[in-house]
Amino acid sequence: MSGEIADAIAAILRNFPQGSADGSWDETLGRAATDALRDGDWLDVSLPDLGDLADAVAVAAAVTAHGWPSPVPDLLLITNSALAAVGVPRSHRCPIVVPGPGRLDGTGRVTAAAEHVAWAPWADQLLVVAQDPRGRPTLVAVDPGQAELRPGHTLHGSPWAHVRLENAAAEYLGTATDDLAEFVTTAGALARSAQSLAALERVRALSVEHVRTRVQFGRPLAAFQAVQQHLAALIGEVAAAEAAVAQALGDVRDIRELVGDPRLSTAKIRTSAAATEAARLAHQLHGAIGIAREHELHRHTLALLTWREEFGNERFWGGRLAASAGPDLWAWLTG
Amino acid sequence: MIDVRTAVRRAAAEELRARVRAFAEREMASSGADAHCDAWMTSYSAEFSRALGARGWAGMTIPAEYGGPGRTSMERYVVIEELLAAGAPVALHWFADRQVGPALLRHGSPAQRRRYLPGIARGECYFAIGMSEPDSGSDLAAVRTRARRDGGGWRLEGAKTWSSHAHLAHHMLVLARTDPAEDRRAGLSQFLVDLRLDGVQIRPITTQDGRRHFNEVVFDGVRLDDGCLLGTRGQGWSQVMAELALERSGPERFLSTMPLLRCLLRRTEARPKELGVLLAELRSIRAMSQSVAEALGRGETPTVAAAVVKDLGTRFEGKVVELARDLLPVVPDLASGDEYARLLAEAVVHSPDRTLRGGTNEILRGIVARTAAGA
Repeated sequence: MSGEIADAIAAILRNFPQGSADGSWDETLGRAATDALRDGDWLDVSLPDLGDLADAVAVAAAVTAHGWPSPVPDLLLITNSALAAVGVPRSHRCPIVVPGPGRLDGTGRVTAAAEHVAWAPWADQLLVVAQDPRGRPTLVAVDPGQAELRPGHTLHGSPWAHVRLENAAAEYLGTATDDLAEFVTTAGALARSAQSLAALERVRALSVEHVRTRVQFGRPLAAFQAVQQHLAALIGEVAAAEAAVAQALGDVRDIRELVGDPRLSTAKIRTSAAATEAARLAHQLHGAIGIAREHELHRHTLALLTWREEFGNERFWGGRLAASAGPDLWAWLTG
Repeated sequence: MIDVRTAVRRAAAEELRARVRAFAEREMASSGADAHCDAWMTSYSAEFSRALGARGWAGMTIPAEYGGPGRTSMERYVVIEELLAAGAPVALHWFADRQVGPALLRHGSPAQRRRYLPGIARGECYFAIGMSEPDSGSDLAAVRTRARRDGGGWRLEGAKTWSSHAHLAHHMLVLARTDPAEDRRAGLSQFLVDLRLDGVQIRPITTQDGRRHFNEVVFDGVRLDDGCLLGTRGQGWSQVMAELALERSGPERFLSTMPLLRCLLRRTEARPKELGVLLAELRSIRAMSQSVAEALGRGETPTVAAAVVKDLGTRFEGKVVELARDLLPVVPDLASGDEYARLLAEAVVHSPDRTLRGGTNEILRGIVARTAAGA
């Protein structure tokens, strides 16, 4: 199934070739590609009855493997999940979740602030996680025109913004039974884990190809033992990340099952740790070529290094995972 | 949705896990056996091995017609990881259980299966492994031990080294050259050798902990009958590859220091972030190792994945030692009555061999890289 999804996504994205001029990302083309994916109903894969979590992750991975910034993984895994948590369908083209924390007053106005909100500059609707006057976790919709947005770009050129809302008029969408902010963090961590794995697999493929074909000192790089050691270490890191994501997804149907679950912490920690090692090794294997603007490698490695910090880095999740282990480690591991 | 069969299988596995756990705890307490790091190499008890066999927990995948319980490779996985986590004395039957049983099931003749498998399933038949040689360590294809046709049988000449517990084992599975070949990997064959035969000499190799796990085994014209050849003459290399996948991917490649880690978490309430990062690594390696076990259960030979498990797993075992030193510093002491100080000492003293045994990690990485890059 994921192979078919990857092929279908690749076929669509081929129509919006990025990097043709100087290797930089063309935001207008990026918007057109996102529109095409939306028109192909690829943003509805994670909606109830239309697909399942594994399919949504496969779409997110396929888009990510392409190597250019895209809001599709966030829309599929974060936006759709947040809306599903309060039982509301997606009504806008690009609703972006603002994790908050926000406060909703009795008159339907929300105050919130969040930094580095991925894709906020593209939002046609902000979905703000807020507490209602009775302290219940609530999702409200705000027109981006009501917000103060300070836009910027991640290291790999993907748009984000600092978002501030001061008594902004908000449309009440629904109240969740669980901690909505925690749920968004979980969904975000899963999205970044899955994206990191997709990027890692691409980094592995580029590295294998490079050492096979690049000849130095009269031999392909792959013939050098020092190179082989690096390549194998890289392959090991990617394999560990694959296992980490696979054990998190397992037979999970709903991201809610992963809230507070060691499987999710494991996925985010291990993909982030693999990102550090794999980025280092891949660049070492590529030599300076990998940092040239026109080369594909850095698009993945910079994204990998950035995503480590988004929705909790290894240390954040490491603290949580460690805290969840009681005095009987083995029972914890096998439970 | 989980289908019903999966749910039933899972419940059965959990029940099995609980039984093994309770058994190991009870048996070790009543016999006064301490938990040890690297127990699958260093800690042994004929009674314990036999008791496992009596419960159907040795040679588990051996079918009933050869005296085994006919369980799945995943059920075996549950049992051995429980025993390793308990640091139980499993070294005697370990190699027979892990690789010789499966090798006989894959390549053995009906007569060979009838001869060896029932004893392996009882936990009473011990095998040593004869791969490394004095002049052929990581370079396995360089084996010089030769088996020559001799009448209706074979004559074995050569020496094997680093054979765990050969002095306690009944038999050895020997890789030997039977035919000259251009390709070094061709012309190799495997033999089931009775270690009590004339011409077999077993010499101890004392290790840095002052103990005898390893041996050098010399074959001085040992006469083997025809029934000793395992599998196909000349196919030794590919047969050994399947064995090595079993040898490299199992839970003993990341649980050798688990008794230390368990003891550490019992002793301290400190739960630093570094521990969490290490636990994520543990959970990932375990998931990988289990998926390799599933592939092996399907009859595949996942050489590369097994090598990756061994590389990551053995390095993880080393990180456990360093975390323990950091979190709860004590002077490591093999003779200490304090369990933690003793386990730390065991873990430290075996630090160098984890990344050597079963093929050095560097050689394994070479296999991984050359397979990927086709070099």
